[in-house]
Amino acid sequence: MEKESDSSASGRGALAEFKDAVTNLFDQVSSQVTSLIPDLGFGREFPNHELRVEDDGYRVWVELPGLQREEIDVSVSGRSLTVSGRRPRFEPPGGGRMLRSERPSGDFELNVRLPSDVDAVAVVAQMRDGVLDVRLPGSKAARGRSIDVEEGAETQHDEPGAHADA
Amino acid sequence: MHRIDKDELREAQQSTATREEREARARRRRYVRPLVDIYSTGSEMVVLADLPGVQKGAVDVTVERDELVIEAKAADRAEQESTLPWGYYRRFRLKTAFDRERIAAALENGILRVTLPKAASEQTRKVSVD
Repeated sequence: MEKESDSSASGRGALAEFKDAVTNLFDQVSSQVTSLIPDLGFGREFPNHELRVEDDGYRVWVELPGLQREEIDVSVSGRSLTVSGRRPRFEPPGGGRMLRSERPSGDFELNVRLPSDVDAVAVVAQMRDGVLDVRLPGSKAARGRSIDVEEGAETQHDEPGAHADA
Repeated sequence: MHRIDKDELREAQQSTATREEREARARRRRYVRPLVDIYSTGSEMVVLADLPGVQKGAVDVTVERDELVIEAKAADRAEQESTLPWGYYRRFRLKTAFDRERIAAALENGILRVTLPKAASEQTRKVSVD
């Protein structure tokens, strides 16, 4: 999967910015809603992610607001990280009428190609503020490496988020 | 989380250039427009906004006259020069009358929920026929 953010220094294309500006002019909300521009996440992929090279391997963030850790499958195979799951479609509670529905839903699968091998057994993934945080130690760095105790994870402590198979 | 302070009110009363400036500022900070779902019931309107990466306390929801503004900063992203959005900014024009004192907002697992109770005059009412 390609990163959407290579196009400009600001992380988004000028066109997307222009569309945002234009759409903002029409961001009118009322019970009798009038939307002149179709509500799509212009050019945005779901889920949005970032890969970063760190001293001891890679770090991948995947934006999955509203999902719990156990609702997301994380697997590593060779140099490929796969994050998949399903984001349920939002249904308004009893009698509610949708005026706008922009947030993505449905099945998703994100494949991230890693630049080099990682120690698949040591991969750890945790969820925080709607973002999946995956740590992938490099296979060399992982050799003879002691097990770090995670700090700052308030809730769900890291069950190993990934499996070597898959 | 819902606040209306005097400065904001004063700012809202100024020209549209101020608004444009604020939006330009948001773009420079690599803020994006968050995606929302909006639904309405007889008594309230609810806005759900995806704000991944935002911690409690880093989101401002303001109502200035007829505008609802959502502004939020995603933790650590600006500092780390992340390619993900550094924050979120979006405003909505409210055409329906709401009970401003009871507007509420809550953030959970990267989703913001803003509940806008409709003013009594706007509520759907069922009239019984004798």
